[in-house]
Amino acid sequence: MARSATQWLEKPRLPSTHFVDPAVYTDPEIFSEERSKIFSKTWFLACHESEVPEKYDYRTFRHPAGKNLAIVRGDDMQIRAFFNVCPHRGNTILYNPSGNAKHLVCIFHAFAFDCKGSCVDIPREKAGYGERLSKADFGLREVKCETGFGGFVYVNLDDACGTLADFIGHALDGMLPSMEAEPMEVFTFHRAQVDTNFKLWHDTNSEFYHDYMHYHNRQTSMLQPGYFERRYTPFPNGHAEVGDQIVNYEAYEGFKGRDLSFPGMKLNQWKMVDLFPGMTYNLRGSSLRIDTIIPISPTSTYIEYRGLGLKRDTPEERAQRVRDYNSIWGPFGRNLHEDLLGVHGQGRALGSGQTYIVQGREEDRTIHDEIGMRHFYAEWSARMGRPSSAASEHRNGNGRAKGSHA
Amino acid sequence: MIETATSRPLGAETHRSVCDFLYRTCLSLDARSFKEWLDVCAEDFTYVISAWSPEIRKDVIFLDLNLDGLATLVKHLPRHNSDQSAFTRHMNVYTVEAQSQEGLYAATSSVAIYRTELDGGTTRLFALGRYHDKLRATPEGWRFAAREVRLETRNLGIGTHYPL
Repeated sequence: MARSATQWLEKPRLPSTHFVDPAVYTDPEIFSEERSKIFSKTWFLACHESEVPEKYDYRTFRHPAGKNLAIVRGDDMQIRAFFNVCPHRGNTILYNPSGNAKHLVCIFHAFAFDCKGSCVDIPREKAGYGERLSKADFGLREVKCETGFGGFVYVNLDDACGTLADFIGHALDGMLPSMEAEPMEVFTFHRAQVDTNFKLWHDTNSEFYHDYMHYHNRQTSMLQPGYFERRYTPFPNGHAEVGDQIVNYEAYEGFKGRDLSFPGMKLNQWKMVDLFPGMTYNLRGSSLRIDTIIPISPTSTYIEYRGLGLKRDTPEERAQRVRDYNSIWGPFGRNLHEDLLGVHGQGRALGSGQTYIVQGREEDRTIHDEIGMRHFYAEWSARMGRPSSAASEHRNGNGRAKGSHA
Repeated sequence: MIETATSRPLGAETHRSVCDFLYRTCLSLDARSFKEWLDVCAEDFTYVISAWSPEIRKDVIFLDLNLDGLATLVKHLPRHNSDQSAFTRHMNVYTVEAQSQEGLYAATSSVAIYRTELDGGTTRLFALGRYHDKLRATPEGWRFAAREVRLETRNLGIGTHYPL
């Protein structure tokens, strides 16, 4: 039976942990608060160490909190992170997304910085500043940076943050032996801009009920033994692991003959971990895919995708990993387009007023249980200081926020 | 890539014939008449979509298929959930050169691929790049020996299931 306007806006007859106020996906104030309360406080994956393999290599990174960063490998081989902003007049220092430079030189007035963030040259310094200011006053803003959990470079804008290990905890324990057995290397990267909220992408990665959308997954996973036994394990700080499965790629015509895996992984084994607030490790057969979200606005998001293999791959092995990855995960892959089409559709629908978003499936934490999303929103609510089920009702006590359905 | 150093002189008629063939295959692709397109691909045809990534300073390959792989991809299209926006190619053949191997030609073309939404007909640029084609003259007419779609555009939004 179809519902009236009033019925459409009624809260579901479920515990408040089992549905989400749609305003969390559209409201500019909530978005701004997410940047300050979540993204400015949590560790976030910026790139992989193989993207800056040599001393003086750099990689730029648009941080989800809205800051532009530069990831730099020093002459001591340590990887550091700085604001990619000249402290003189606020210009961008590094314009290219990657490169190698002994000194980072601002094109505007030629202020120069070394790989540790110290200002090493100011043109006509004494003539202009005398004794009032010197190079010591113009160091770059350094950002907390740690490398680990598969050689990934994580950053945290909060100088008072805890360690990366404390933040991730044991969430990646099931995948680490495969990722740390030997060095990995990024072999592909692409960034997609999608008109949707960043959380909707993470939601998609946090539930498998949507496998009905994927012809490939229906054939190779859902219809295969073990699928419905996959179980979610929630971890502190909003992370969640999905139990593994052996995927039967032979069930999809044209995907036969996959004989390459990762160290410690069975052939065609699949493991997946979602990290709060928007990172996913997806190790499927021969390649590792990493998703990271970069919100642009409440309704626009960059999603960065990285594919990784082993650094010691032969050309033939690398080609196989690239082919396997692209078959489902590249921008022309069978699964990725469907997932993106799904969140694109959600983004479009949410803009016109929406009922509560239901995350109510309970199946003993198995694959179609929606505990992965619920676990994320429990962490989100705690950090935001408002429940995700009624986020727009908890804004300064003034009722619903803009963009909500009321 | 074009073997300029080993290229041989090309007659105007051959040049016109290659251009005509390439433009016609664009019409097939625009119409999603994939069978028509696959019918003019040689048995050893290879199809690659690639780009240079300045982010990781590497060539990246987004799709790499032989004729069988491409035929299977096309066969499965109706089983997948795909965005049905129309693609329209604007293509210009820049060069056509005979290769050292008898009957083999290389063509480089610019291509802009536009996506037009079904609902409302809004058109946006989907991707910009070049076609690097290898063409073989056969008694049945021109056949694609290889196509590399070399993209400048790497932000492909929601992507697509369709060959470019």
